Amino acid sequence: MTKNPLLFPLLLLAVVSAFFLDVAFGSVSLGAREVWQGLFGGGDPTALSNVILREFRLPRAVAALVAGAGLGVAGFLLQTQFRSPLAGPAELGVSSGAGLGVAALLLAEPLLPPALLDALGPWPLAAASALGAGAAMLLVLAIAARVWDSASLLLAGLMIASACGAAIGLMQYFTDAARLKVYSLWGFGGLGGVTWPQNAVMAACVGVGLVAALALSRPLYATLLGDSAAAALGVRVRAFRVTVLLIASLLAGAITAFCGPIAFVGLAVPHLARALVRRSDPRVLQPACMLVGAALLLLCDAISHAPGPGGEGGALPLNAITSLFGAPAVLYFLLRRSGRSS
Amino acid sequence: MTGVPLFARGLSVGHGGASLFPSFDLAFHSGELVCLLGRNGAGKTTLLKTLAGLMPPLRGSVFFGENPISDLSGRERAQRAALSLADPGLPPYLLGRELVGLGRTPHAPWFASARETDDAVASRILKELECEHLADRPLGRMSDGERQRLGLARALAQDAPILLLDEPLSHLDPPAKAKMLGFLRDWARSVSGRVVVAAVHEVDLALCFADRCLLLSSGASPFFGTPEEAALGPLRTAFPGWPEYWDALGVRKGRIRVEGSGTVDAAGG
Repeated sequence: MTKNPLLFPLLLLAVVSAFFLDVAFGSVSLGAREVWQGLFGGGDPTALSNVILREFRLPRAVAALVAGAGLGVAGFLLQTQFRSPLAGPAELGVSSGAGLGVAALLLAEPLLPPALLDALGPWPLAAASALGAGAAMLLVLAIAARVWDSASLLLAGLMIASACGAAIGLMQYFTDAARLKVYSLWGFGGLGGVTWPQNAVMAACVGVGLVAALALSRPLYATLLGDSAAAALGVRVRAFRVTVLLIASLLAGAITAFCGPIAFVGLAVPHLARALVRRSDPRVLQPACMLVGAALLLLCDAISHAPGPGGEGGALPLNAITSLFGAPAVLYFLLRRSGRSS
Repeated sequence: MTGVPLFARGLSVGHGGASLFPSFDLAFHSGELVCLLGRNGAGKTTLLKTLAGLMPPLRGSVFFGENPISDLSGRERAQRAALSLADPGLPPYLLGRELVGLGRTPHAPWFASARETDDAVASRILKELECEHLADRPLGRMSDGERQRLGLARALAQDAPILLLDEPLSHLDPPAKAKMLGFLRDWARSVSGRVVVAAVHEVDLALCFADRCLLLSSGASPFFGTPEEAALGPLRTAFPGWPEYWDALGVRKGRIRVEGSGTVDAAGG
């Protein structure tokens, strides 16, 4: 067990608090009572505060909850399978692959029957993004079979990201202004635009991914020992690795489809979780990644909407906040690692 | 071949189609400690990996008891044979207890959360190997020898009757090496059906402790026999420069003798 029996209750409390904070902050600040009434009933359902909560704040907060938990576990899966502490969905070019999928769908949309698109709702977006993420992931896997140090792997991820960026740029050239704007807004990343139907699709995909990741905890744990040792313990390493990366693609792809690329959360969360839990067992660490990821993204989103000096709620870009936390964290891990090896 | 926990028939091993030795038969008996000897690159690790089922043999087959290992699933293989490799490149943040508990993997259902059982088995084995103090230390803060002991503990936690060890002694101090081989010999004898195959470079200790030695030299047929038989000649074929090595150590005819079924001049005539 973890050393501290209170750790998981405390993490859960952190998630709940961050959720309330995220719901309360915005262009109109809501008091604790209004938030409570909006969430648990009571008060006037047509009151402005209730409408704001239902239509804007809650979808955003639910998206942060789901995306944070999913990105945390996706980062953990990537870090274990590539045996690199600096792997994350954004760093390995997986988010860019998802972006390429989204851009391709936007480009192809005029060619598809509108009735079909209406009937499918948010699913095509999730599918295109997850497919793009999966393709990028398999490319990274093919490269990783040839280069074995994590620095080269990250460079490869960077190259994949650039190539995807170039392809997206070419596609945009052939797109009309309205679609270009949709894509550009998506590219900034953020949780404000996630609607309830999109939330449902994202939660379904992330739910499946998280359950699968938890179910595979045991062999996942064994792969920490390296390929040969894991095989000697009865794990079919190659098939297992592809399975795990497909799960990570589903998680990262579905989240990126609706929230856009979110920087650093997938990278930093596994390290934070490990520092808190002090065990490597995925049966403990993965739930911790979910809770830490959800709390962190909710907190970052709350900060991005926090009331400024004038009392007005701001709307800072979410990625500016996550990068503010994430970039120093990555530098810290880099320095600590090179300090150990020298 | 009942009562033989591990044997191979017409075995040919190697990488990429190139066979390291002419094909051979091997039968390991219940209760024996076999030391696998040979120069660097002779094929010790390749043979161990093939016996464990991690590499397919080029020709022939390996049997655990009556089952050819090609008929067993990875999990079933791991329940019958535990392999500990020399340099697995373990993550530095893994705790000693966690590493040993991972040996339970082939016994635990994929989905269940049996952390308490893992920890209980890990504690018992760490105690047997006198490594309790390493339980809560991360691997990154251990010496090579300590990590090596835990690697063996991990293999023991697998609770498989066949134990295949690649250089389990290399980082231990000399008395600890002897103690470890003694432990492995006793482990093999204590329960019927057990066998230990350990690749070692400590030829002197192998001659003292092993029930039989398996000598590999590339291109030649492996020699499999008692330490006394090995010392009589095959050792010198397997290791060119062996007489010079014993000369350098000051070992002369009659000064060091290998005690066995008969007394044999180790340095030869």
